[in-house]
Amino acid sequence: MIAIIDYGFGNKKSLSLALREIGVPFKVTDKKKDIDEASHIIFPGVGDFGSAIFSLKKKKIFNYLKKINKGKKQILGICLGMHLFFESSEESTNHKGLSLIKGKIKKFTKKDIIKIPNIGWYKIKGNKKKFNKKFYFLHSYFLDKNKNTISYITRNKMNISAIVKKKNLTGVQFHPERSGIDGLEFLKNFYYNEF
Amino acid sequence: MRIIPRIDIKKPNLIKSIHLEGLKKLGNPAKFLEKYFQEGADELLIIDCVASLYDQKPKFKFLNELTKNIFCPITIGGGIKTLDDAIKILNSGADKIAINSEAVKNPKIIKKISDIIGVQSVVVSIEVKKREKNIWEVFIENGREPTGINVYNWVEKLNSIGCGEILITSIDQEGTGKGFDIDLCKNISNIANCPVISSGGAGDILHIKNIKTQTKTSGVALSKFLHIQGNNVSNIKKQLKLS
Repeated sequence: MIAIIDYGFGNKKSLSLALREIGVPFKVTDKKKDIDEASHIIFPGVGDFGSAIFSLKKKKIFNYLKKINKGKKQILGICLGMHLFFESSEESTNHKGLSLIKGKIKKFTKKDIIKIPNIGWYKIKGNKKKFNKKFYFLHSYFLDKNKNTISYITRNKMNISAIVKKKNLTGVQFHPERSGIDGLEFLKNFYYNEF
Repeated sequence: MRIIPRIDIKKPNLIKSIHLEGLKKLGNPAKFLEKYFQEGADELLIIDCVASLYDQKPKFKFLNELTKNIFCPITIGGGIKTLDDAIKILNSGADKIAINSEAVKNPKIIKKISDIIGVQSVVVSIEVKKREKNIWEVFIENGREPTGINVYNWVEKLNSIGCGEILITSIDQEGTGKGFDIDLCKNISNIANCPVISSGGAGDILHIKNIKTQTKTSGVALSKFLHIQGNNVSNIKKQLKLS
């Protein structure tokens, strides 16, 4: 079973529909017990970094989630969900992230791309395996390509992380739940195969 | 450039208007949405065009049903007035919300919503009528109410507040199939900090080509061109070399 972490907002509905479509069991939850029982965890996308961290603290699961990568569960963070894995984000100076992976999420500036946010379907590259497909991106904040990056996109000569991986943690900047058949295939792969 | 089918709704039907008036019923919107998703639409745009006008709440249950078989990005607008409405819209299957009338009446709501759901998920919809060369007036309540606001001032204000996207609709061109208001789309896409979706007037592949080559528009919203003229999204993308 996949536990989808509930911040109280976001597009968990889109994600739920996608998981239902591929026939994967899931539960949207903010309870430690459900998360403990799940084999997989997804931190969904869409939301503000500070508001999401604040919500996790209010629900008293922030400190619990800070150690979530210690077990054997496969964990996926989508867009904002991926950002939460890192130490901080320029989206919120008041809140530190879960700090499961070292690094800082940055804001696009007008120099980086012509229009902010970066919206559209981009073919990801760099991954030697099978996910060099087009996925849907919608974001104003990003992670530079670094040693944890296994796939990336290039916008205006900047390399932006598309997939990051560290042990049982996988973060994706794009939205697999909104990327058509290839996106559904990606989610299926997360559940049935170890990345 | 993204190809975005625009589904205007007067529950329970997909409708098509001319100049945002004289609604023609075209049937079950779910069928159209699923068809366009299958054809490879980059995103889908659903607007309840009477909610604000009749002061109704968004029809969350109905929207839930419409979006359940769609796995591409969806923006939903119409009748959104509060942060709670916006969150419920996302819970009804949307990834972005579109807001028009309330944003003009109470611009503070834009930041209030962005602070929670993220600025990238807030689309501000702007409907305008041309007043003279290079001057357009902002309208609300689905093109019924003039505001006296010059569109440039509104876009500059949105630049300072911050929003995820601007959907610009020319009421003059809407439903005519006579082509986009190129000057409008060019000017707005030049001055906006965020991506701009151009809407109103597409009736020929050449109209979309013109938008692509002559403006900085990031997406085009298509309605009559698809729903009535029966064009296929996949063919449009091929003709424009977008796929």
